[in-house]
Amino acid sequence: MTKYRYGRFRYSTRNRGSKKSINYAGGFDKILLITVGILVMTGIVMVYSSSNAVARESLGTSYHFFKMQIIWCILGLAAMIFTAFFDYQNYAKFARFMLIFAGFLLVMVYVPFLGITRGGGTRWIKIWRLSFQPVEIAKLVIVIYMAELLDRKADYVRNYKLVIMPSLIMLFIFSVLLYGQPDFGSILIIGFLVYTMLLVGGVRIHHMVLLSGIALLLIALAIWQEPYRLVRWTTFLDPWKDKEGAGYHIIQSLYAFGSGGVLGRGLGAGIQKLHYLPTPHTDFIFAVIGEELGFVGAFSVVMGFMIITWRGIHISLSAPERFGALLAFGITILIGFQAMLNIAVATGSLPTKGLTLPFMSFGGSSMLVSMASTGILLNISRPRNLGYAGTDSEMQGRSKAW
Amino acid sequence: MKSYKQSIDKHRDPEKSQKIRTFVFLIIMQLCFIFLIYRLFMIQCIKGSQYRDEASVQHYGKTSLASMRGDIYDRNLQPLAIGLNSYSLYADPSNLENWEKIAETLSPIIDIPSSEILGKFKTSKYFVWLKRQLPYEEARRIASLELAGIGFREEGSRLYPKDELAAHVIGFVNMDNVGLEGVEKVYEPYIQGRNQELKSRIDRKGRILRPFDPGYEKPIYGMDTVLTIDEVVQNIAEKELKKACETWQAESGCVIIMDPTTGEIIALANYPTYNLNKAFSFDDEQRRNRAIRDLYEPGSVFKVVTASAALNEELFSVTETIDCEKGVYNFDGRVIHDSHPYDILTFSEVVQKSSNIGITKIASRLGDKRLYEYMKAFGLDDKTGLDLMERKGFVRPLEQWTKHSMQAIPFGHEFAITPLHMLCIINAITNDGIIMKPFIVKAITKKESNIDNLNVFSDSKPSLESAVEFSPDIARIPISQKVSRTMKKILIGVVEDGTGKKAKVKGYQVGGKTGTAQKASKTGGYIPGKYVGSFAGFVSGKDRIISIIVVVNEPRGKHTGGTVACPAFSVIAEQTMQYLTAGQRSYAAR
Repeated sequence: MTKYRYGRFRYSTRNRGSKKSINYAGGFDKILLITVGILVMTGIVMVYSSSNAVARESLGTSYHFFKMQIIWCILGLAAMIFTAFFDYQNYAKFARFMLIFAGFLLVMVYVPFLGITRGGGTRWIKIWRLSFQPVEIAKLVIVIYMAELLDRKADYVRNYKLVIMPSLIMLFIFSVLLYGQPDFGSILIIGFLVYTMLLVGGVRIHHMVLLSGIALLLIALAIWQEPYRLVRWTTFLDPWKDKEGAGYHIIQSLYAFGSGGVLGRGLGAGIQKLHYLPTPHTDFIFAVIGEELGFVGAFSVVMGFMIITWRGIHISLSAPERFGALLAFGITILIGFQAMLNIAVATGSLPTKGLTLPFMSFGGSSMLVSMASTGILLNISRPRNLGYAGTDSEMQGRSKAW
Repeated sequence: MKSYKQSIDKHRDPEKSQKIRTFVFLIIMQLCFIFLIYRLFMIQCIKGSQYRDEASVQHYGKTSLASMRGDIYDRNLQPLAIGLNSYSLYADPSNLENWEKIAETLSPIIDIPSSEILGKFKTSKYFVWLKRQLPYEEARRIASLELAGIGFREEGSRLYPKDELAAHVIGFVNMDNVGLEGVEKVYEPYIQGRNQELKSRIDRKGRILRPFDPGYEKPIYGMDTVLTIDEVVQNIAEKELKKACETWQAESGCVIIMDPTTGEIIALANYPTYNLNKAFSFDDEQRRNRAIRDLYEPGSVFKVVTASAALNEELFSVTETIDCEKGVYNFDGRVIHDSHPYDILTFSEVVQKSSNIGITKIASRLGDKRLYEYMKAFGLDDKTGLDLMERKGFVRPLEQWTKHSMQAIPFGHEFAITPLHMLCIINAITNDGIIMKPFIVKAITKKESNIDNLNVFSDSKPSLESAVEFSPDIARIPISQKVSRTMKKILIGVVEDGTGKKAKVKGYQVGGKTGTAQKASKTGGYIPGKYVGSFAGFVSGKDRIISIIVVVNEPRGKHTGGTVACPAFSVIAEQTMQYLTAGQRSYAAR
């Protein structure tokens, strides 16, 4: 038993009784904290740079998106501070309630007066003057739920009826809710989340292969139903084939990156954001970064996400127990996968999908949830005395209690 | 402890496998990120310049800076044609977002049915005009909608503030602002100006980001043209011509007023006329400048030439008597009639009473050769020199004259000239035998182009510095000063005691000659009942003299020049002389 207790005991033994255990801030993963901080700050600047012209035109003030982004960042910071100090193990207790709440929020989108339709999808609900996307909350909640499920049934992960079936039912319900919006990008992300977490949670490989087959079948079905998706899926390979149509967004994004070159046009000097790029301050903010800050800037942002992924996985590996490890892993995948997809779409490496770049894109709910997720990661990274969770038998006992 | 061990595969350690799988995902994700960095490197560093060049193609747009056509003024600098900038609406159908919606939005504003707009969208072209030269208010409303794929191009356009006034002189322009008629066409190179294309950075909606890059060239504005036409006199001429033509239900008519001492055309009117602002809703019958484009047989007015030729050759004295054979005479088998039978008339009286027999006898002493020489000396087989697409007179060369030509040409048949030719003959009589070259453009002046003024109405007056100036020029001297003065007296007699009594003007000395010509048919011979009644003459005040011709084509009822043309002449002459001499508008001072 001792040889695989690498993470668990390193922290708990090293910090026990040392000065560091008293220092709260010192216990967090500082590299993660600083990286996220830099990305968020850069994001605020880039949101202003990419949105000021469009905002001035449509809203009369160039600061609209800039101000909103700062407000959301402050709210996000508050959420992060809260989650960073709030013991993550409490989430396990409320995982199922939270899941039901997230589902409820997704249903609210369909309620007239509450649901807001923008850009061809009913994805927002508006409360007072703030609108947010329930799916962002749902993503995090699904990660928590999956971590809790896999932890609770740690002994039975190889039994597909007990682990795979409930997660698939959950996934199906959320997919149906998202399908109606429609929001295929989010279905893809939660599908990927559930899949990876099952895999890491110890589900049998041949079950996962079977699941992959089913997933591919479903994708084929979706394409067969609406052939335009296939067109959308294939144009990214050769966007010049349909320069003014399906390939337009990709081409404009490539133009932005290309115009940036190595060092970029300079902050604020981009041209592609002037209606050439669609939604320059949300989905294509990375293209604006590429144009204005050049390869150096874009490279640094990708590096930032690589660091976040590395730190996230590190936190997962060194988490004191299974729920924390799975939660950290899920959150890392959530952030890393979204960033990867967004960057891949912007660079024309994947088909166009409306996805935000975590920490950087304009978008309140995305910002809030990303920051809260970071807080959870930080909380998991904190050294703690894990008296009762220190042994397998106690873990086992706790999971049985659930 | 046991149950846990039993439930799992004995050969595997779940915690270790979880860590390995987690670590594998870290590697996979980092590899993906590295792949994306590789993509970025390829796009930005390797292919960067290529994409940059392609992007700059769409970032730069050409904006045409429309030049403005020069204005046209009358001699007192009253505007007759004004150049302005207008906006024309175009669509780029490939860039339009929602055809039906845009068509329906635009339809009520530009007043074109939405189905027609939709039809225009259905093209493979990237540029299609929706409406040319919109009123400013319409353009502003559409611009405020900020529709993608809809844009404006600045174009020059033309406004003729006086609608019909001097229509045939000024001419008009087409949609592309190119002169098609009159001064607009002849002086096109001066009036047109030159557009400039400006390359500037644009956003996707085609709006200019930095309007005026330092290196751009200003459009060259067209020059202003000052005519010899006097708006007031022109108005008098048009009004009276219309009245005369309507009174006599004439098919057409024209009036030309000239200053014989300089050759300036003060007024040139045609009936029927047209509205310059709606030139395309009229046809050529209305738009043709008949005064210089239509040939007609002048009839008795031409007796002036025959008589002056005979006097210039000193074959007759004005008091010499000629037997007019009581109205009927047979010349070598051709019978000629006079409208009123006369017995014996003096040379002067032959002209004043307009005896065909008398003038034929005068001409026979002159001989065909000399008559032909004088016709050429008066310039009847050539252009008068007015630079406005005028027509040459038609005179058959001497060798083609038949044996009866000498019984037709002396009183104005068997050849055809324009009313302007006829007026030039009168000018020779009134201007000591000198025909001044007729001209209608006094000066062409440069306009100061001002970039701040690009979008607003130009209110600049022509500058005093002229680019081209036209000065009086002698065209021909067909007869001597002495003969011209003698003829002038004879012509005054025509009005005082001859066929042109109705041309009298109180307080001014008037001279002239009536003409009543049968209309030649295209197939040969003359059309019975169709006549051209005309009166060409002069009116002189204290130190002013002007020459006027009034031609009324195919009047109904009465047809003699004395009846149909003289009253109009009288009114025009009187009003014009009052206007010219009463006020401070002395042309000598200008």
